[in-house]
Amino acid sequence: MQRGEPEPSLRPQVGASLRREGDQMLYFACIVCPLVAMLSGITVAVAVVKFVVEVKRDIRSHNT
Amino acid sequence: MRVTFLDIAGVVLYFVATAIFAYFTRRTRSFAEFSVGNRRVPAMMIFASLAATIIGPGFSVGFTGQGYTSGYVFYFLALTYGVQTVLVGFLFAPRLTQFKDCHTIGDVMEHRYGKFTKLLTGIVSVGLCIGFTAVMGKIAGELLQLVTGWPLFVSIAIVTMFTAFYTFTGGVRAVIATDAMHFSWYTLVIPTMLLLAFFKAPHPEELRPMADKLTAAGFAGLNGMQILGIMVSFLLGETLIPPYTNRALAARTEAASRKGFVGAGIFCGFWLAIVASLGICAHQYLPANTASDYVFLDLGRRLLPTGVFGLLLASIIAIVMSSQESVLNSASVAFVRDIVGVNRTLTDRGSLLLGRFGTLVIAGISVFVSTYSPSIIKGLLICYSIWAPSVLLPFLVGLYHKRTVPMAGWLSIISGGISSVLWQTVLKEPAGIPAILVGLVFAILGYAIGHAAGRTRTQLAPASGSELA
Repeated sequence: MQRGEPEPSLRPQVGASLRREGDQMLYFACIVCPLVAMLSGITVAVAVVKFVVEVKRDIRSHNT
Repeated sequence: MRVTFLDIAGVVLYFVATAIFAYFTRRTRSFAEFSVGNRRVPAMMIFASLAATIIGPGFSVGFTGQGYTSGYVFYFLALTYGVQTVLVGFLFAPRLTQFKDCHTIGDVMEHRYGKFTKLLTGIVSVGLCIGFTAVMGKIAGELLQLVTGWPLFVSIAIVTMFTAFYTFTGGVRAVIATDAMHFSWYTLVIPTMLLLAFFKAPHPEELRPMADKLTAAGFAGLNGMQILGIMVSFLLGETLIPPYTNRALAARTEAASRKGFVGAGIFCGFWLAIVASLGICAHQYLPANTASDYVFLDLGRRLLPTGVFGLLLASIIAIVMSSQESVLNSASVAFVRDIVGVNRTLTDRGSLLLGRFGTLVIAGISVFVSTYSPSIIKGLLICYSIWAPSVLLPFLVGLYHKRTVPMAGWLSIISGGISSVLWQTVLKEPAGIPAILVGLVFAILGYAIGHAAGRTRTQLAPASGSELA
């Protein structure tokens, strides 16, 4: 066994822990990230309506 | 690929919705409105527009293909892109917002290095934007060809000229509003597709080992120099390219500029994880020999029911148009200010007219260039290797230092740009050293020599007298 390598009895635990970390990353990428993106999209949709209303008001004020 | 009437209807409806949306923001009365939206754009719009421009076909269709072939490799490497955008938000974007009389990078360069450097910056800016527009136009054209069966050239021309038309009428304000609309649309559709792919996976227990295997194999296929080159390309290749600089110049306040850039950089990290994961999930649904550029669409076809697939097609068109319109607008503004206007004073009306028709002409040139453009990622990496070695160094230095030397500016652009292009095209990147790294070294050398040999010029007084940092 080389220096720094875990004892054989600990290896399955380390492996399981790494697997869990990997699984967490996959869940993060496939569940959390899409939800964050969708939330951003909805927030921007509200903001863009406000922006267009502001632009329209701006154009109208120029016309008058 | 089977495309039904309902799918086509979805695409057509999206074109109509974009046209209606652009109509509401169409009117521009001055060049300042056309180029920087009267510098009154709020933080949320800066964020949405910037994120929409960043997420082009490369960061969606291209990245899913990369996820399919090499797992999360490109995701890890491209995180430098998000880091770069956050850093720009903290360090450079607020400084740019202070340049109240500038419309382009060339204007800023003129303040620091004089007219010749401005002209060179304008030429590089317009050329780069034509390259980007062409790469994006080709992807959108291929998609339209898939849906309609029309010839590729005609399909590219239709998408590019449609985008050019509403950019022509409404300028940057229409661009920012439609960017945000596109952003809202595809941030709902594409993440939904990933959730479906993940939860409906026939063998979910294989997802994790597949991700590990692909990522490990992907890293094993790259040497240290290639990894460094790709990371530097993502870090610097698009740093403050003309459309991003225009967003900083259009921001209402320095805080709006900073928030917009930082938000877009953080969002980038989430988005890239989504599209790379789509590529990994695709292994559950597609045959192993699927070409990487077709993974995104093929997966959509397999996952989404008839009609809903049309919404995905509309999303891809939205992704392309949101990047293309920003690039087109900034190209036309750079053309007016940095090339035509470098030695003459144009009236506001003249600038506006020239900017509008410049948009159409640049779009037309891009359509022709697009027939020669290579694959998505390759095309983007070529564009990256030109921008960073030429304009970036003197531009960033100029944002922080007033006592600059004109010779340093133009010598850096010429030495960095030419060395990068020669290294890539003539010498074919010997020893695997990426052109962007070689170009950056020559840009630094050119700047140092110019700075040592040249003479400091008296700074040009800003027209408004309201800046400079």
